[in-house]
Amino acid sequence: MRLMASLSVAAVATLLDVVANATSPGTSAALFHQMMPVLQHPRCMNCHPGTGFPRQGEDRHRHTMNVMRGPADRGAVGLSCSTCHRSTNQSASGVPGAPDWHLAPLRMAWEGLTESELCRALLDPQRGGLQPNQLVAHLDTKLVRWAWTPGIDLHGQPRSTPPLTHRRFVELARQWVATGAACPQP
Amino acid sequence: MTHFTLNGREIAVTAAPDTPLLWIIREQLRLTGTKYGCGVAMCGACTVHVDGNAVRSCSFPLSAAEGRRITTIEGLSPDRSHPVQRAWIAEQVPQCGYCQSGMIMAVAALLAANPTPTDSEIDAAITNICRCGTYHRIRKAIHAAAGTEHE
Repeated sequence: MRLMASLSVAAVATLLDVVANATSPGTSAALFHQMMPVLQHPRCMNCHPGTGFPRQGEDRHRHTMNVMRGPADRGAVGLSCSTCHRSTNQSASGVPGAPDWHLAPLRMAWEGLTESELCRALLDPQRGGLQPNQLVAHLDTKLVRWAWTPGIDLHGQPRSTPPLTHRRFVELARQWVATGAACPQP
Repeated sequence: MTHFTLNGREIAVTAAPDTPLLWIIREQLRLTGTKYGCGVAMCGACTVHVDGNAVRSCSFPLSAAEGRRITTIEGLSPDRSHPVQRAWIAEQVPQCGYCQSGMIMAVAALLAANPTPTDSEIDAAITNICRCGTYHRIRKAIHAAAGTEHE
């Protein structure tokens, strides 16, 4: 009985602690920290490069065949992304696909950014970052969701998926925004 | 059943929705000008036009063809008179020829979108592979078709 009482006191104390910290920058930044392994996963990072070309594969090599970013982030004139990438994964060829397949614009390049820099870039209007509600909506688009159903590669091997579930990832993003979207210190 | 036009002809075919368009064109419709090369959208031998845009038909599911206008090498012109075909003949581009129908289709789509491409624009748009190594004649023929030969 005494043990139970002490446990419940501890539980209440923890709960109070969570509530008290719910809007603190430290908690908000910690929520963002949990999102980082997803943002840095090849399924996300390969399409957020800082270069004039996409990357591909688990080793994030340069997209083969001299594929270029092009004037509108949708490939070169005459060789658009949609020359090969359709709205679904192609099981016969291993070519991945999702609706609106394209590169993130250069202002949303993530390559080489620290956790703090990437965090600030997401919502920085100076960089063309999104409004908080737009960001959460982007994370729920079919193109982003593709990262969790990426199909097989050209060797027939399944592509890896981010370390959190999509549901958990979006929930973290919602909580991060709701707690003030604080970023980790540089 | 999936409906589309192929070289101006109304087509209705029945197959699994994820069947590559290339198989439909070659095996069901018996148009064998479009070639199977790598099967993974890397070589471009299977390039056809869908609504005027180049696509690699080995990675284009039948389901995406519904209502589309599809053109193969057989339908590019009725008499080999398309400017790209004429330039290909004039420059004697092909060696073995296996990649060339895809090459011609890719170039025709490029010139429709960019009538006078520079060398770097050609590099970015024409990534088809030719194992005979006819690339120098391909580039020359593209400029000739575009009327921009610099010689």
